[in-house]
Amino acid sequence: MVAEAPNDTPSPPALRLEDVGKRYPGADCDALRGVDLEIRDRELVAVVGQSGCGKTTLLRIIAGLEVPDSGTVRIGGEVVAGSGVWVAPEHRGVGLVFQDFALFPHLTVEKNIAYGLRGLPRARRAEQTAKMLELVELEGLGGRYPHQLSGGQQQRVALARALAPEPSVLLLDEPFSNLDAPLKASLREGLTRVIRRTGVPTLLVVHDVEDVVVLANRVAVLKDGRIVREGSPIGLCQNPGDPYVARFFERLRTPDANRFPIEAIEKAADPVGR
Amino acid sequence: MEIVLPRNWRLAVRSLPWGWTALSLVLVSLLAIPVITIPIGALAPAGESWAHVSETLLPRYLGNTLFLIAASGLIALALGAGTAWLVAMCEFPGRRLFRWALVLPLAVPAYMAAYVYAGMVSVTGPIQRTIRAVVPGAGDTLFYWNVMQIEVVAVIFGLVLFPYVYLPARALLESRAGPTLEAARVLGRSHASVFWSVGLPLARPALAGGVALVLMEVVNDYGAVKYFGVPTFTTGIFRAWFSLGDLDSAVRLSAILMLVVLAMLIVERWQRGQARYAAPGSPGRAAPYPLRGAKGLAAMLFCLLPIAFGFLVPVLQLLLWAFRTAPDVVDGRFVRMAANSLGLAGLAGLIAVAVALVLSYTSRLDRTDITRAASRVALLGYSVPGAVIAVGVLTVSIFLDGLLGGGVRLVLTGTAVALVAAYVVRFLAVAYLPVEAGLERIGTNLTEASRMLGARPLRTLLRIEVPLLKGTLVAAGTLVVIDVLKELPLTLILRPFNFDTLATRAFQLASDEQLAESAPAALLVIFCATIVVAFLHRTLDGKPELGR
Amino acid sequence: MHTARRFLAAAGLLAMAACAGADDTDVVNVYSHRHYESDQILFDRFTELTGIQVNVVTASADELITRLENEGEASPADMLITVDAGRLHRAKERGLLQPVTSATLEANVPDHLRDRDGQWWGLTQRARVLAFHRERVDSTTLSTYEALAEPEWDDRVLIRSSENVYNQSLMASIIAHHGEEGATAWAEGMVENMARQPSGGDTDQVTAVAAGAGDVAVANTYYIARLVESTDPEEQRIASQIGVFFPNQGDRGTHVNVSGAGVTRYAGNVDNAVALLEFLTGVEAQGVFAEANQEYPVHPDVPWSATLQSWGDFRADTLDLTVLGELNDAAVRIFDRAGWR
Repeated sequence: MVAEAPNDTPSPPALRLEDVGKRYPGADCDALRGVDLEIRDRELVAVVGQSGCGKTTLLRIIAGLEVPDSGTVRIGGEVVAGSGVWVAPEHRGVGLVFQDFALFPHLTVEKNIAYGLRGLPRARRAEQTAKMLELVELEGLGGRYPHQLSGGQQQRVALARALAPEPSVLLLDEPFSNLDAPLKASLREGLTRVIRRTGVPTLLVVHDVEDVVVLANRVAVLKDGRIVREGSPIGLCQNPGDPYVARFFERLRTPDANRFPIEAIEKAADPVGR
Repeated sequence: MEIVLPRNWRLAVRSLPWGWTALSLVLVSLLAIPVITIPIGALAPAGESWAHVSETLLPRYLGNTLFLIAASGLIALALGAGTAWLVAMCEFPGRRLFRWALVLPLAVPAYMAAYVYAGMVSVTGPIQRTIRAVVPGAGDTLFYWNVMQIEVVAVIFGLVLFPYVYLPARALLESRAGPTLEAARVLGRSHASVFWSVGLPLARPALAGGVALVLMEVVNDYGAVKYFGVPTFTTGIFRAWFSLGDLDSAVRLSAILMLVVLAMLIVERWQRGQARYAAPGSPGRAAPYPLRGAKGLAAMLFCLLPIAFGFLVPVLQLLLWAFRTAPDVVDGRFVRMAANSLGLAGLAGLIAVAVALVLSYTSRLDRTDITRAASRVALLGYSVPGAVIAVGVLTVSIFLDGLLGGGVRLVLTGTAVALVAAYVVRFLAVAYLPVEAGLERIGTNLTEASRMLGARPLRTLLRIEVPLLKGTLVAAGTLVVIDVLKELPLTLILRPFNFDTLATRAFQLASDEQLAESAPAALLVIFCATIVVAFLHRTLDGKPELGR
Repeated sequence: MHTARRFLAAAGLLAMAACAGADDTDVVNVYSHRHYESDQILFDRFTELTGIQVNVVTASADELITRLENEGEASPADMLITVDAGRLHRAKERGLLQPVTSATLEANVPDHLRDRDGQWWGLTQRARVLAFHRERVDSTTLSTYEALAEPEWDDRVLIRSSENVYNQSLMASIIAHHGEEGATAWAEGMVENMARQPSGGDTDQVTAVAAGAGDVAVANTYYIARLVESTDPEEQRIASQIGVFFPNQGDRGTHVNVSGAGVTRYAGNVDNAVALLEFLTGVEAQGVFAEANQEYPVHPDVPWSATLQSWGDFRADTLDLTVLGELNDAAVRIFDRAGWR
């Protein structure tokens, strides 16, 4: 390890997709087509699109749960899929929070969180688990089983579990879809705080831009498997440039949508607090 | 089916779990070769023998087999669905006892029940003895009632096999159907109407799976149909191959039988596919219908009859015979025979479950058509009569012995290894179907979550799927154990020297027309199987598995 | 991994336990279709006398022959025992047996009860006789197997399924005497006269006669003798209502079959196998066959059991027993065509 890397060479992006395409066998159109996407260090990027537009496929390709038909996926500059290279999901160092959390029902919260920490000595493992529990503010619930927790708590366990092995990229699949409105707000806050504290580069996919507009550094709009627009939330809001994109931001622009006034977006221009 | 080659097939190939795919292909080959070596002969043009078989025998085999399938299937369905409904949805005296006692007939091999019933009504049987002893003046009247009829065989099959339907149907009604059924009641439907319009359709996938198992046992039975003189496909295969020495015709008959079983497997799978829509997984048992007075009595009778005729009567009769003959027949060998039976069955159960787990897990990791088709092929053994598999395994093990270079000595052939391998070939489907259904129930999310956390497939399997499916795996293994305990023709042909199991012992005495002498061994088979069945019931009855 | 190793260890142990004794030098390995208790007694006695361990697998002859064929040179078997000459002949035809010369054997087994080339030797004889109801049937109306196919026996005859080797060999003897056409006509007449569809074993046919399902049954002698010798009074009562008739005394004689044995082609313990054959055909063993299992001994000096003696002497069909094997295929086909289940 070189302690002092020269500052002038930019480090490679945490995640980089080039020309990624995918078509499922038997389907009559592509799930993804020529997708380019980059996430830099400490950045939080949201991919927005209607259901069925390929969002989940994108996540699964990055995670290694699907094989892309074309293009390359790099994590920290290393090719993990493409050019004849394939890295299995368990070796990619990517954290994924599933839409339905996918907590292991037969393991306690603690054991769920410690599941990905196998390489560590016991003491380190316990320490890291405790740290994660604290991070998601679930101290004292480590001995519970997932079915004994509320939906919001379950999601926080899922987040802690994904973060525990200190992944180089964190992926979140529709993190807000299974929760009702008040929970959403508190979760959004919690998520922001956690991501801010860990600084892990994060990609989340959502179908409703409201959920992320205050969090994301950048938003990419996915339509029929292609990224049609990409930019800062405020930029896209002011200049959607495409009726499909405009529809996502429409609600934020209406005067009576006081839940998300435009100022909030402006204030959130640097959401992760750099 | 259209096969689409992924555009980036090199990557697709790299992403396959090669170790698992290779392991499972090796397993499938080992399992399928004994079954496939036989049909390869079917490619030869039909000989003159086949003309003889197809003209003189085929119509009768087909007629009998179809009749048995239809009649036993219906009886098992009626008994299984009816008792499951009563036990799960109603409240009547003795319900809790019946709930588990209804599993017991599974412990009685069909051929033993057939021997017992034929023996009971014969002139020297206990019924006629009692009449002669009790009715004054009946001293010398001997009467004759011909029980050895195809209808009786069908009833016997129905009586001893219906728990295959009862168990899954009851589990479904108890665990999933509550709210739906209550909704129907609240809407003002009568009891009968709820049963027909909601209960039966809800339970349909479970019923179909159970009936499929029943029918596969029926088409493969050899002992009962032989004794009762009801020739079916299985008898036909034996006759063509072993008596006429006509492998060609035997193979053709086997192929037809395989098609029948394959069709049943497909229907079962299709019905299971429907399950997602049929049972939306709303948990909880419905509030029971109280049955009082005459209705309660009728419910008790309906549950008691199959237990009585499928278990109690045969066991009591065997006890009576055993009481008379045990002093002459039972000796130290019995302990060893019981150990052989249980040892073989246990080992076969463990291996079958392990193999089933590897195969079904691989077809999830590697979702290519080849792996899926391969795991289906491995199930074909269930469609082939035991004796045919025995000869297939014999051929393969002799070949392997040749490779092992033992020269003239046989290492595998004629040892318990070949015997256990043959059981696994024969009964893999029994373990595979529940394991596959269990994996499907868990879904792929947890597997993916585990792999995202850095666990390789093997660790994922051991840490996630195996603990979650513990109950299912134990139940699957137990079903194999029960089948092996009862198995006959395969054991007879493949067993090593001086090696007896309880089943072979009972069968040999019975086939030598010494029914009473065969009773102690037969009883022990049933006793062992009863313990296993009770264990199975407790396993299934344990806490509902997490993650359902 | 631990578990996997434990599996293997268990499997290995089981295998070893199963082959116990297979490595000893003084053994003889037997494939037998005879699964009578008396046989085990005889094997134990043989071991006691000679120190040679007898290892046995029992299954039906057809299955054992298939197993022998598949095992070929590598077969561990030294001896094949069947309950029917036809099957012995089949084994010989397929090259599964080897010729044996032994003065003792030649003295023990009469010429017509053994293979011309010494490939197999009869152990016991059994006659296929008619069991009739003493009250309903006048024994003078009985004559031959052929007569059972006549219209006067309509709905009165009981006989087991054609799956059974004893029936197959009986049919082979009918073919030998009457040709295929005559045999077909006989089979059709028999099917016509059956009181019920064939089911059950020989004993079932006999008891069914007593119960009134029919008037005359075709059965092997030892099954009837066992009923007579039974300690169960009910079975004795059945037997008391049954008469035994030896058919075809006026012409070729009653159909007789043998249970027999041969040394396998690739036997590793030929001497031990021959010793066992000599023992089984010897006076002591023949006496056990006769008394314990009610079979007719092949050894001319050994007396029949009391029950068999009470039925008297009879003329046996002297047809060469190898013919039973040669005509087996034809017999099965005729059964099928006649609709004899």
